[in-house]
Amino acid sequence: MMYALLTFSFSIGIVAQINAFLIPTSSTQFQLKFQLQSQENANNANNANNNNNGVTTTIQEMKRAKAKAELQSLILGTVTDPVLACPLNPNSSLVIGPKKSLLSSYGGGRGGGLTGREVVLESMDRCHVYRGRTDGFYDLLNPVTDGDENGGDFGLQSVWNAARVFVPPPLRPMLNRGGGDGDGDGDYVPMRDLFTSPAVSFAYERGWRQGFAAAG
Amino acid sequence: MVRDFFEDSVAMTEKSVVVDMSCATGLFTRRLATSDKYDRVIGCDYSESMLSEARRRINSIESEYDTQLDLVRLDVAKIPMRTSSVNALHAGAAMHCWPDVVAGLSEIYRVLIPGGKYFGSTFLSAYFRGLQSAEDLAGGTSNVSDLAKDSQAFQYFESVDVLKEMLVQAGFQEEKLTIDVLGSACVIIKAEK
Repeated sequence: MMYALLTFSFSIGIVAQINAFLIPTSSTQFQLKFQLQSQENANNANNANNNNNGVTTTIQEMKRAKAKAELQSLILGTVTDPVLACPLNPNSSLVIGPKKSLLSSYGGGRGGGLTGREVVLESMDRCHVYRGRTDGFYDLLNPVTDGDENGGDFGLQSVWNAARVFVPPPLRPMLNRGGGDGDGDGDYVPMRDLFTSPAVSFAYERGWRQGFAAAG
Repeated sequence: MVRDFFEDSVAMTEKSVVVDMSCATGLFTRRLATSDKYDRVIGCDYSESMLSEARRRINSIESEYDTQLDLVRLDVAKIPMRTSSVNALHAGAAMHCWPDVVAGLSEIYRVLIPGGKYFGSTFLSAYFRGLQSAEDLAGGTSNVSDLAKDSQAFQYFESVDVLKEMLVQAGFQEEKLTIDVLGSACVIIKAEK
């Protein structure tokens, strides 16, 4: 059994080496990639042993996910957020990384961390992906689905929603039927729609300040 | 007042995290961040446009600060944060806008560290009645308050006891919370996990 396991691990190690040679990378990256693969092999072996003993592998899996995230952060520039987690599974931290280019580097700007680019936030359990901008906000309301990979609600829909607040409420259901949301979000929710209108956002804080000034 | 109240809880961990829930345009988010007393401030809201406006205003801050400042779009009833990861949470004039107040408060209780602090301000229903009567006196019909009344857009907190009951239902202990009424109907809630 042990012999078979060792042979298996060894063969995967070889494959990793070959892959590393085929992909043109710097020597550091090669080293990291190899480390990542070796780490996985070691963990696989541990998991196999634990299974034999009938011991649960949850802790091992968590350790493995953590080790993997650490190595990935070195290679891909991802960060495991200590606070933010998946809204559908708050035990699963979010791993924040660049959206497309692996060549993007950290900006050391104000506030620290990543600056000025589009990022994806993937739950550690790999179940859900969210998106956001480091110079905007992280949208952790709904996970990204296959259908809206290309910007989705930042397009026409948002213009439509912005205009909708100016339409008298009794007419809104009619407009929705005529080509509105189509996602079941057509119900008019007065305060939510009011607060989600850009014009109101612009004017809101002035009201706050005036309110405070009036209240002393 | 908020910063003084948060002081003990932010000293409890090596890195302090403060959340501004329902931050809207980020008036308090910016004040918390520029105070430079916390390692990280997270401004949260449901509204995309409020967050965009908050970011615009954050970008125009001229003073220097080292606090990490993030903005997150979320639903307060499903806060995307780890359990016991936040030192203190502020929700200014926000609770009456949440569709499910107890669910929101339960989530806030969950994400706070033991000893973490919650500071919330809201209004009792008398405040909204005041708005209504002012408009009635002016002779006009109010679009906003009529809609609010019909469709329950605002949550109406009839009394301090109703709020206390909701906080206790969410997990806060009665002896660790205080609710003060300022003026006629402005409510300040201070609670500790």
